[in-house]
Amino acid sequence: MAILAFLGRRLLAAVLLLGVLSVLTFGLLAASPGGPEQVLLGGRPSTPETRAAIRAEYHLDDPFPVRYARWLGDVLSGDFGTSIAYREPVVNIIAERLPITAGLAAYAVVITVVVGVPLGLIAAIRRGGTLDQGITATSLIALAIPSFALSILLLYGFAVALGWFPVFGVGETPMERIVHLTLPAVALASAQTAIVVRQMRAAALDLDQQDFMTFAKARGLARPTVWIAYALRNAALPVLTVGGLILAANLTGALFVEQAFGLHGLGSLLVGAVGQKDIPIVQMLVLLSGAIVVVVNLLIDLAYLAVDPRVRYGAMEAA
Amino acid sequence: MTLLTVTGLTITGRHLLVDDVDLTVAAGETLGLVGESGSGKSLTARAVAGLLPKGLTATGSVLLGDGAGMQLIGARERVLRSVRGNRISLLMQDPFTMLNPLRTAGLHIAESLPKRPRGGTLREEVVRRLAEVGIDDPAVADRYPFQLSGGMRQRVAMAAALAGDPELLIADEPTTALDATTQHEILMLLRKLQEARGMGVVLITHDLRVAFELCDRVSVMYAGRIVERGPGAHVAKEPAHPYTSGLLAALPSVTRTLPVLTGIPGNVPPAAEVTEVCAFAARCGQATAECTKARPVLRELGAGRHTACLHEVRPRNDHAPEPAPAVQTSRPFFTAEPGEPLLRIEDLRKAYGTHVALGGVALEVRAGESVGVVGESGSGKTTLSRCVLGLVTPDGGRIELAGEDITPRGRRTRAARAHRLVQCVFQDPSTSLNPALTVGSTLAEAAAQGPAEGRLSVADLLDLVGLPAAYAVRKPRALSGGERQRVAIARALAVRPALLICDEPVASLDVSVQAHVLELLRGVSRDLGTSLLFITHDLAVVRQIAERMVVLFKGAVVESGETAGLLDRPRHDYTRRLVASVPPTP
Amino acid sequence: MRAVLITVLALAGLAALVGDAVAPHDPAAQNLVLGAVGPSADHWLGTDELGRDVLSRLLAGAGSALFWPVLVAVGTTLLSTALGLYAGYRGGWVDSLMMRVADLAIAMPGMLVLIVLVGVIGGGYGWAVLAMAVLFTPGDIRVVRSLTLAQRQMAYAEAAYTLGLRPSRIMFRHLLPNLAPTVVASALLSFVAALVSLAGLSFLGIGLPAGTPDWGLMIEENRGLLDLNPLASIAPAALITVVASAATLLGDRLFETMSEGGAR
Repeated sequence: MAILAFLGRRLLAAVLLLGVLSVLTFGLLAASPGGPEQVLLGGRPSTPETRAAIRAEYHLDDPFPVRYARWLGDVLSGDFGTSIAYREPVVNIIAERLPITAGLAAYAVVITVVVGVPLGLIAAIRRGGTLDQGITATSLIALAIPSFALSILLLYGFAVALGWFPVFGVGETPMERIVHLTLPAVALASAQTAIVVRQMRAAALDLDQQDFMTFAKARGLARPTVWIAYALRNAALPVLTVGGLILAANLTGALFVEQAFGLHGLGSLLVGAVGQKDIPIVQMLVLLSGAIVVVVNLLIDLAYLAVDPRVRYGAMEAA
Repeated sequence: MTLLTVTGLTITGRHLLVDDVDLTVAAGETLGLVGESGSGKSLTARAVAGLLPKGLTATGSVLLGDGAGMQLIGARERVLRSVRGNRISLLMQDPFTMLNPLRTAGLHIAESLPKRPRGGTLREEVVRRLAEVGIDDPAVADRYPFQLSGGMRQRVAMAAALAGDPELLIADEPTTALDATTQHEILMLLRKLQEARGMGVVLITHDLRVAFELCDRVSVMYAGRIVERGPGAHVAKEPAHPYTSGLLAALPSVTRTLPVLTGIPGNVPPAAEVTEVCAFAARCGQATAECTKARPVLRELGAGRHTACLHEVRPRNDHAPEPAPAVQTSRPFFTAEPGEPLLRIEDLRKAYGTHVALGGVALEVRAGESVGVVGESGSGKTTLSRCVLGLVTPDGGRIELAGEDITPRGRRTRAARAHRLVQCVFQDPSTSLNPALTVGSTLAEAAAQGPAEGRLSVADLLDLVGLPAAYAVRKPRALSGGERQRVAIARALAVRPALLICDEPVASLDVSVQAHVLELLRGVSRDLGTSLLFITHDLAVVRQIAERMVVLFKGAVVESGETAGLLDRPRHDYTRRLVASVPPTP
Repeated sequence: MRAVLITVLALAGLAALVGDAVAPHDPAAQNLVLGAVGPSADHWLGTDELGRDVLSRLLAGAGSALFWPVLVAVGTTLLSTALGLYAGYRGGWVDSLMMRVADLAIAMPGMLVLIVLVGVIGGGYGWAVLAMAVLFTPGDIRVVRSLTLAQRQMAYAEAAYTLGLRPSRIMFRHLLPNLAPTVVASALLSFVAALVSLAGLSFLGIGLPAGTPDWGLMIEENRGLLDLNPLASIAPAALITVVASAATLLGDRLFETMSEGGAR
C-alpha cells in the first residue's frame, strides 16, 4: 500500500514535469521572433499568400490550447513533425544522430563509475591526508571547470601538442571509435566523476562513524557481510540520490563537448537547430531529455524501494 | 578464572586520552567502569575490543584468557575478527543507531551465530535467542529496526551480541538512551543473562547507582585514568577518593530531599594536561602541595580496594553542609500573593495524527510554588510545556496565566504580555544558546524584552546565576555545558517572569554539574519567588526541587500530590513501577 | 592558500573594472595581413584569425564575463535567502507551494531550457541573466529552507520566540548568522554556475553577436586555430577555468572556516 502511494506520487510528479515541459516547448513556436509563420517558412521569403497558406495548413488561427492539444496528440502518437531545415521527419534525423551521443554518454558513465567510486573511497580511507586533500581539491576544480573549456584544453594537450588522439571525427571501426571518443568522454565525465567522488567520500566517512558498522565488527561478522550487507548497501543510498544530478551534468555536458570536438550527435543537432530556429527538432529534443530525466528518476526511486525497507513501509520518504 | 587482563592501557589521538589503565575481569563477574563524560571509559571499552575510532592508537597490554592469554593490542584484524563475537562482544549505547536499518531483527541474530544451522533450524534458533532476551513473539524476527521500540531494539541487539556465546560482554552505557522503566528491565535482563551464562561483563556507565546495583567490583575513571577501585558495596559506603566522594554527594536521592545539593566545582581537565599531578587536585577540597608534586599511584588499601589519593578521605558530612548562597538581586521580580493560582491548565488536548500527546490534562501552579511534571518519553510532558510557551497550538482546552488567557490559538495570536509572564530553560545545553551571539548580547536582548522599569544589566544577570561578569564577551562554544545552562537560566530570568518552565534542564549534564544547576534553580524559586514548572523523567531530581508533582502517562495525569508523599507512597500502578525502577541511592 | 584564491579573484575583478582602459590594442582592430600568429613582443598572447590582439580582447571581455555572474549570484542569493528563511520559519501553505515549484524547477534540465529559451527567443545577455536567476533560485531556496527548519527547532530559536522577539528579528539576527556559511558558499557557487553558463551560451554562439570580445565566444571562434595560435582559444578557456576554480575553492574554504568559527 505504502509502495503504491509512493510510486503514485512519483508518477504524478513525473507527468506534471513532462506536462510543464511540453507546454514550454510548444510555446516556443509561438514565442519565437517573427511568429510561427516565419519559423515554419524557414529562411524562405514570404508573401501574404504563403503566410496565409501556412496559417491554414498549421491551423495557426485556432486558439493556443486547441493547437497545443492537437500537437500533443500528434506527439503522443509518435508524430514529431518534420524538420524545417532538413525537410525530413524529425524522428529519422534523431535516430541517425543518437548512436554517437549514446556512445559518448555510456563511455562517460563507465569512466565516472570506474574512476569515481575508487577515488572517493581512497579519499575517505586516507581522510585528512595529502592524498585526500589532493583528491578533494581536484574534484572541486573538476566541478568548476566548464566542459567546453576542458574540451579545448584536452584537445590541445593530448591531440594537437602530444598527438596521442585524433583531433576530429569519430572513426570507422569500433576500436577507432573508442579512441576518437576518449577525449570527449573524459571531458564529459570530469564533472560527474567529481560528483561521485565527493558523494562516495562523504558516504564512506559517514558510514565509518555509524554505530551499526562498529557493532557489526564487534560481533566478528565475516568481512564480505560487513562490506556488502552493511557498508555497500547503506552507502548506495546517498550515492543513488546524486544519480539525477549526474544525469543533468551528462545531458548538458554533451551539448558542449560535441560542439567542441565537432561530433555530430544530438547535442550539436540541438545547438544547430536552435541557431536555425528549427523548432520541431528543438521540441522533440527537449521532450526527449525531459523523458530521460523522468525515467532515470523513476529508476532511482525503484532502486530506493529495493534497497531501503523504510521507504517500502512508508516510514521515510526517499531523499 | 581470569577472562581479561588489561595493563597499562594508554590511548592517544591528537592528545593523550586514556592514561595507564589496568583492569581485570573474571568469569561470572561484573566489573563496573564508572565515570563522567570525557573520562575515557568508552574509549577503554573500544580499545579492549580492538575497535578504536580511526586516528586513535592504543598501547599497553590487553590479554584475553587465563594464563599467558592472547595479546589483542597490535593483533592483526584477522585475529581480532576471530575473537570478536565468540569470545568478546560489545553492546553499545544507542539502540536507534546500533542496528543496520536495512536488515531485519532476525537477520542480525542469524548472521552472528557461530555455526549457521540451516533452514527451519536456523529460524528456530533465532526464535530461541529472541526468547532468551525476553521477546516471546517470533514475528519480531521479521521486523526491521525502525518498526521496533527502543527497548525492543536493545533486546535484539543484546541477542545479536550474545549470539556467538562470548565469554565476555562489554556493555557501553546500554540503557542510557532508554526510559527509566525500560532501563530497569534491560539491566535486570543483563544481570539474568550474565548469571545464566556465567559470563564476564564490563558495564560502562555514568550512573553510580547503576554501577553499585549491578556490579561486583567498580573502577572509577577520571580524566583518562582510574582513581579508585574496589568492591561496589564498599566504595559506595566509604569512598576512598575525593572524586568518588564528591560524585556521591552530588547524587540526588529519590527517597529524601537533601537540604543542599553540592556539586564539584570546576571542570574536568584534559588527560594530557595532568599527567604528572593528581588529576583531581585542582577541584579537590583536600588537596595539598604534595598532590601536585607527582602523580599519585593507585595504592592498596586492603580488601581489594585501591585509591589514587594520597590522603585519607574525609567522611561525607551530610549533617552540616554549608548553606547554598542566596540568589539575590535588588530588582523586584514579578510578585503575586503566595498561594494565589498563577498557572491554570484545563482539559488540554493535543493529538499528532492518531497519536494522542495530551488527552485532557489539568494542572495548577500557585505563585511561588514549584511543581514537577514527571513522565517518560511519549508521556506528553514536553508537549504540555510547549503549549504553555506558545510553541504548540493545542487542539482544545484552556491555559490561564496570572488571570490572562494565553491559550495559543493558531499563529501570531500569542498574548502580548505572555512572554513577560513565562520563560523557559530548555534541555540541550549544546543548542540552548545562539552560537553566533556573545553571552552579553544574548542577555541584553532578553532583558530588553522585559519591563523597562528596574531592568537588569548583563552583569546583574550573570551575577544572579553565579557567573563572573567577564563571561559577557564569550561566545557559547567557550562555555562548558553547565555554564551554558546557567546563561540560559539568566536569559529566562532577564524578563523577570512569574513562571519559569524547566524542560529537563539537567538531563544532559554530568551529575557533578547537575547538582550546581539544580541548587541554582532551587534558589531562584526560594529567593526570587519565581514559580517553577519542572519537567523531568528523573524522580530523584524532582524530589529535590518540586513541592508538588504530577505523573503523566500517555498524555494523562495518573497521579498528583505532594512530592514527598507521592514518591514515598505511590498509589497508581504506573507510578509504582517508575519508583521501583530507580536504582537505590547509596 | 586562501590568500592565493582571493588574489586570483581580485586580479580578475581588477581586469573587469579597468580591462578596457589598459588593453594594449583596440580589441576590435583587425589586421588581416598579419592573421593568426603566436605570441610576440607586440602581441603577448598572439592574434586571432582576423589579426586582433588576443590579450586586448580578453581584457575587454573581462567586464561582461564577470559582471553578469556577480549580478546573478547577488540576485539569487538575496532572493533565495529571503524566501528560504520565510518558508522555513513560517511554514504553512506558502512553504508548501514554494517547495512544489522548487521541486519542479530542480527536476528540469536547466541548462537545456536556458539554451533553448535564449537561443530561440533571443534577447541576449539580459534575458539569459534573468532566466538563470529564475533557474538557480529554487535550488538555493530549498537549501536555505531546510537549514532554517533545522535551526528553528533548536532551543535557542525557541527561546527567542518565547522571549517575544519579532519574527523578523528572530529570522535575521538569530537564524541568519547561523546559515551564513551556507549562504556565502552557495553565493560563490551561483557565481561559478553563472560564469560557466554564460560563457557556455556564448561558446555555443547563443546570445551574442559574432565578433564581441567575449571569453566563451573566443574559445569557439578560435578553436580552429589550435595549430596557428593555440593561445587564442586556450587563454580564455584557462581564464574561465582559473576564475571558476578559485571561486569554488574559496567557497569551500569559507564554508569550512565559518562553520568552525560559528556553531561547532
